[in-house]
Amino acid sequence: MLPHLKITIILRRSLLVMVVFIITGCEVAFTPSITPIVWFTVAPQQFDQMPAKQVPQPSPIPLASTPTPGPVPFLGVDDLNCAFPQGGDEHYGYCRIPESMQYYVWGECQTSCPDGPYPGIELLVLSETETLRAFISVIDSRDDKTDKRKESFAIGGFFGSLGVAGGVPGVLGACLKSGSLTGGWGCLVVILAVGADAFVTYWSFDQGAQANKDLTKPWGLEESAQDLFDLLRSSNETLPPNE
Amino acid sequence: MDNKMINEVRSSNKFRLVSAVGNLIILVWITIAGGIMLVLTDSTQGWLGIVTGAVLIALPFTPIFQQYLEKPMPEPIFQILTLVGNLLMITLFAWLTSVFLRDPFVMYNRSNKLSLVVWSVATLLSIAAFVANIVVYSLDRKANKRQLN
Repeated sequence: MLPHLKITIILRRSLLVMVVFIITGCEVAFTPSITPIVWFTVAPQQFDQMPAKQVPQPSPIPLASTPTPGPVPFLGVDDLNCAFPQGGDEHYGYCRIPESMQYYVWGECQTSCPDGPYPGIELLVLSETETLRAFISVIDSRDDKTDKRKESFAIGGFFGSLGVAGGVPGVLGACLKSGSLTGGWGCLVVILAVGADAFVTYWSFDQGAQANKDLTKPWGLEESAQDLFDLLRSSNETLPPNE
Repeated sequence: MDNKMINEVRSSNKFRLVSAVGNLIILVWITIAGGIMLVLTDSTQGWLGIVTGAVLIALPFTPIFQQYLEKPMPEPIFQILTLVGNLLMITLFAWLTSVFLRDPFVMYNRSNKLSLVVWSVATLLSIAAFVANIVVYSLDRKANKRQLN
């Protein structure tokens, strides 16, 4: 054997012995200086057996309930195909049906209301009779008095407040100088203007109050409209609608 | 203290301005809101009210209004009569409101409902004007006494 080959074999064996010694020697010599921590582990879970309700789910988005169509408010003449003559309001009124001699007549239901498009309002189709003519007359008077009351009170309210707002400084400014009464034409004109204003105010309120009385007194126009409509409904004058 | 100084002290009071503005607001409400109410219920007179209201709105910006504020008024007669006028207005508008409130058929048509709104607000405005005038009057009195002392 060649000498250099002999040396190589010796070196390899020595290296092998050293490696074995290092590995076995370290393992034998190691002693832990601290107590090892014991890790407790949870028993394996069986997820496929969990109840369905425990599975996290996205919360449902709150949705507004779909609004159901509410009752349709009756607008009187505006809701119907009407010709003249016509009158009344959303609660009691009448109008002629175009190209016919019949009338739409409507009023409030007193006890039970028939199934119709307008809750609380009963719509009749009637031919002209004495009772219907009386109803039309009452409705027309009721419209006139309602307008009269509204306009008279508006005029009276304006002139009344104008008289108070302008009258006090007007009279004091024109008729009093240094605390004493001066008189004169200016003062007279202002006093006459305030007097005229007071008269217009009183007259307007009187007209409005009279109209109000005609409307709301017992057996007045409001109650008469109700009574006559009840009479029309209860009578056998109701005819089937021609539309 | 001479008369000139007293007048200067008195001319500084705010009662005149507050009472005039209060009355103006009430009149503007009645003319504009009342006018709109009449127009909405097919009364052509309402346009007259709306035009009058527009003129009243422009009034504080005219020299006439300034002259009125600067014109001397006998005191305290002016204040007392203005407050009495306020009470008259409250009575007037409250009566009008009560007419519609007592009407069992008030909700029967739009005209009645609008009238109720117009006069109810007018009543509230007149009460507010009266309270404002009372407050300003008492403040003015205190200020005048302090200055005179």
